[in-house]
Amino acid sequence: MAKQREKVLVIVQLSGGNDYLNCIVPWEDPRYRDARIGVRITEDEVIPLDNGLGLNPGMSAFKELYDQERVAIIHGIGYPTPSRSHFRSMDIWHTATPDRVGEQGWLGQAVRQLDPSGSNVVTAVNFGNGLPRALAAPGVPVASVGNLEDYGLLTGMSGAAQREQALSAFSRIYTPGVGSGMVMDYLGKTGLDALKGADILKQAPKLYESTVEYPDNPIAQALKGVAQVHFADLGTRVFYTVSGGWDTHTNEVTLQRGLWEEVSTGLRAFYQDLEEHDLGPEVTILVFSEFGRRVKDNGNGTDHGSGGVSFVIGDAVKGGHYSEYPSLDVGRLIEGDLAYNFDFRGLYTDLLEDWLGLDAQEIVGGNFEKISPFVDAVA
Amino acid sequence: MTTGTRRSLKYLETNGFGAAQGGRGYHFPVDIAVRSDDRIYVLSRSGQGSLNGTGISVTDIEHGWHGEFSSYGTGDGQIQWATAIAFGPNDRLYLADEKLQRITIFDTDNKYVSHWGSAGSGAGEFDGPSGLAFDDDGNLLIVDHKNHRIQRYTPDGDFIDSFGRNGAGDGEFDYPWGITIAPDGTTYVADWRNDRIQRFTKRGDFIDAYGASGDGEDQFNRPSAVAVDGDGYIYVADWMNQRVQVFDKDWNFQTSARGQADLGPWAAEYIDANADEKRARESFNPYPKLDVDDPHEVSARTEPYFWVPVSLALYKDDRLLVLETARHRFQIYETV
Amino acid sequence: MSTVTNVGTDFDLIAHLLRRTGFGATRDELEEYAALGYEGALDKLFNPGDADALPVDLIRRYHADQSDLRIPPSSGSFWMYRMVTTKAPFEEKIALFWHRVFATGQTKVIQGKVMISQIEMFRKYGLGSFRELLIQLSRDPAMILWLDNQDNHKDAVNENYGREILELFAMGVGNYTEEDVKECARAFTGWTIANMPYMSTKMRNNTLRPYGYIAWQYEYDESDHDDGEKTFLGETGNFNGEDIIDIICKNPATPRFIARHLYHHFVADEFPVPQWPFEEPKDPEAIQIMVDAYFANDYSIGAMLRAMFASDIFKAESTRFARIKSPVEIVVGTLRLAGDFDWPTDDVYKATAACTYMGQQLLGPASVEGWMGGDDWISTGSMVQRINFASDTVGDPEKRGIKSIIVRIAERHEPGNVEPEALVDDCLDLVGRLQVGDDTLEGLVAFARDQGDVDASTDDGAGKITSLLQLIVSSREYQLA
Repeated sequence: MAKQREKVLVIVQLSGGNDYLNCIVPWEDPRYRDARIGVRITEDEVIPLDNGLGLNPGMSAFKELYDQERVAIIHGIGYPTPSRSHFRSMDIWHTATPDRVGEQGWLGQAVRQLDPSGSNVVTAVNFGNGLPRALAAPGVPVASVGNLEDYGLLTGMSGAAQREQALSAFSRIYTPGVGSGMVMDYLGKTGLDALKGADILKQAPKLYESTVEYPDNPIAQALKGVAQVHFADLGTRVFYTVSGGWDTHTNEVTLQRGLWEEVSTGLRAFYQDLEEHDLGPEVTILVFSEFGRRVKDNGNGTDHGSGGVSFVIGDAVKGGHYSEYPSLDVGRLIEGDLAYNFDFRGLYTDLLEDWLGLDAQEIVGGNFEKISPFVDAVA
Repeated sequence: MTTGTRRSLKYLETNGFGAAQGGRGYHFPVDIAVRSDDRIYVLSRSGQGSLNGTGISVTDIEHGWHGEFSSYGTGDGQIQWATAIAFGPNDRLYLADEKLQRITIFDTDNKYVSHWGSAGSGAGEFDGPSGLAFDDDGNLLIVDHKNHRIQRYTPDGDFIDSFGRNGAGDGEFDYPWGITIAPDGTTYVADWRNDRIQRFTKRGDFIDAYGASGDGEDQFNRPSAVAVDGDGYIYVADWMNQRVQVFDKDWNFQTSARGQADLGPWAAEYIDANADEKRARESFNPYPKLDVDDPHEVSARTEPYFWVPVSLALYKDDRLLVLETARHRFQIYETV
Repeated sequence: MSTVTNVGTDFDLIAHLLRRTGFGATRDELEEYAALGYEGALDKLFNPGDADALPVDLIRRYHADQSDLRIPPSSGSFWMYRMVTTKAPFEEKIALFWHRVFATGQTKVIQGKVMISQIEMFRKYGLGSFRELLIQLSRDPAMILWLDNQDNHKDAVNENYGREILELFAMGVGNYTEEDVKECARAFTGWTIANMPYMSTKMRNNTLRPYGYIAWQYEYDESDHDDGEKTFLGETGNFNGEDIIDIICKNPATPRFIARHLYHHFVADEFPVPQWPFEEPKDPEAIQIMVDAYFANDYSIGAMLRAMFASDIFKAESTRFARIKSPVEIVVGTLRLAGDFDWPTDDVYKATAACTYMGQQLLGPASVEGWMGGDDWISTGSMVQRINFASDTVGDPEKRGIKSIIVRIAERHEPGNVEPEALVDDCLDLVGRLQVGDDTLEGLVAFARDQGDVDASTDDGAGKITSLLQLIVSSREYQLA
């Protein structure tokens, strides 16, 4: 019998700009062959899909998920007045605010709705250092975990016994005394919360048992961490992971294939793990990148463009194509880029309203057309 | 050697492209060497945030691209802080790494053969190998820069001898960098922090030192490399003055070059693929009027100028290749 | 809070001054400045001489990416080296101050090189006349592109810079009208950069291809300047940017606004900037001292600060440890304490990244309003980073700064074991005279006691002192400046 858990959202961010054209490949389209003279996925290499499209040769494991009807492909996703700056475009995706510099992350705001009092310090867990802007919102606790195995405070202390003593002393010196003032109280509470979060999270790997072998690459290992924390039932609702290196101005064919192999095999292992633990139905994954790339190649790679592709993956997802592949007609391109034809804030609305059951309008700043990728939407 | 006319540098063209993720181009290249079959090897040190850009690329004088090898890491044949490459007997390629404190050998198919070296200041140990050159006996001279000395090895890595110590006197060094053996057998060392070039006999005996700190004609600011052609003309990469200076064998000043790169074929292909940049570049003035005079700043703002000209190589003895770290390219000059 | 050592109080005052004008002090620095007396220390801070930081040629030789300073880790680390190794940390504190007020971000301008040039400009002009600083700022290429002044044309005004110079940089909302914003923007038409079309396209496309970035050069385009008559803050004339700046600088709202920023940065945490129009300054007297100094000294920022530092308000016990350290203060202060970065090392990137993880990306402020500061720095995530970075950094007894602390402790005592109370006392003294509350003191002493006997002259003792230092820099009090 399936265990009942609250629904969780896992983000897989592809940093650098995943080349849409060589990811979901319109390989039968002569306009593709004309535009991609030096940087093309050839007929021998492409993994045929349907609708005249194919997958990057690095995505064979991804194809298995697609064949299981778990993958929604969202074509031509973007936003008005595209930015070709990594930083700016990523910031727009993170804050859902294309028209000005946004202040709060979309997921940070979601976490605040999920846990308004901040009572669970691990409602959101980021695998990586620092805090992605997407998770940043005042007063919202987020645990950023480099490596679950050694996550915690005072990790630089030499010797386990010394560290235990130091952590015990830490707990003592952070416990606010009477009348120590607001600032000291706040520092004390936050420090102890951090300690608590670390104590909770470090249980996860100890409880974890699985026969699934994850590939030895950073994104697959991060997904393994997601599985460990999810299985430990700590009340985490939002997970964040990042795969880097997608900025393929040169050497694209080799690089992108390798990166997709890492992501695809990582996702496949993650799903095998979820199935083994009968915990798949609670999980939905969003895979996104800050932009697609130029239609015309530069000889050895492609440059920053707009109009990309996102994926929503999960047992609750209706697999297939959503929105439309933007036209490759030269006349329909915008400054040499694919025109976006679906606003990403609509997809965020799907995920926030119909998956996490939250109020999306405030977070994404308005009403946006949804794609409805789920089999059964939350009421 | 002709008299009466000065040696000059005539700009021909530029080879390069910023390739932070590897592929066709370079990323923070630090050394360049020409193989006996005229293949040109460029060593990309790369930098923080783009470890994929680390490696050795192979090109030719016609802008052909023949792939790349090696990568960031500590394994056999890998690189951490690469400093120099040189071709030894049988066209084997030698690579110096100042962080791994080792010299790595690749065969003519660019495959890893072996490496040697360990950290230290004793005989046969390194503290920052940073310049490589083979003498006409086929032995390898290594600038062991933080030990302020030059070491000599057999091509198989057996220590022979060394010379030099820290200081500013004759035969003393202050963090030396590049080294070259002239066709007549004289050894030239870029004595980096002493702002001078020193010459030694094949046995390592001091001949002379030339240069002082500054930006005048007889001055250098952290020279990093030297090349010497068959006529004895000396080319110096004047690293922080962002120029190349040319002297005759008696140190008579010939000319100085600041760089005049234009778009090579790889760059042109990129511009063609980006219509907005192509359009915007039509009104581009490569030499804007500047309000700075620090050469580093001037080069930062002037695309054709050398920016961090770190290494030099002669091609068929009549062309000078000037490698620029911060512009991911080399400019090609005819020596006339 | 109780003072845990009874050495002369001047040391505490000098330590306070050096926390605010720098990044705290090692014992050697503290003694050097204390020997000059308070006035003498101020003289030295305002006339520091050569920064004598890690030389640029070495940095560029070992970090190829710090030649072009393209990406944030490179440009941020270049500045990090300077902050950690300079003998003139006040320059860096001033640069950080203006970086916060005139918040410009590499996130948009892309080029770390021009960001570093802007910081260099802050070092050079940051303590001088505010008029000269505003002129330099208005010509600063990073600022021009950050606020779109390259799109501010004679026949198509873009108000972004015209607005922000009034709202965020010099006066604050409520001291000018929308009409003033328009007229101000008109006066700055033609203040642009060379090769503007190509440079702004490259910025938008955010790519180093083909040959790396070309750093920007300020250019005044007279043909694109609107030379017509303008009325600004009640004055009328054919104003150019410099005239507007003259009018801004003589307006009393300007020094009040700048003084409040200075107070926030150097004296005590203020309300977040957006609340300023609605909240009175926390200490109006402090503001007035600085406003008077501004008008008496040709708009000199240095004079404002000197007057502030000389005041009893600044010296008061209640002002000490009244600010939450920014991430940069935590990171740089701890690295200086440990004596790091005598030679180029990849660890510099970890330090720069640590600031980012704690919420303060150097050269990448979160918005045009810079960083809020105060308790905005503190979250569970940032606390993990602050504590782990600091405790990790001081965790090596072989580091120059840590060794020096251990040697000093050994020198202060007879050979043999040091009592836990005395050991804690010494350590708090030697990390820059940190004052801690009674609870913390008891916790530290208990930890020292649990560790067992400490003989500072042995390796075992050095290890235990190091552990105690690690706990001290993890304390709540260490979060305060």
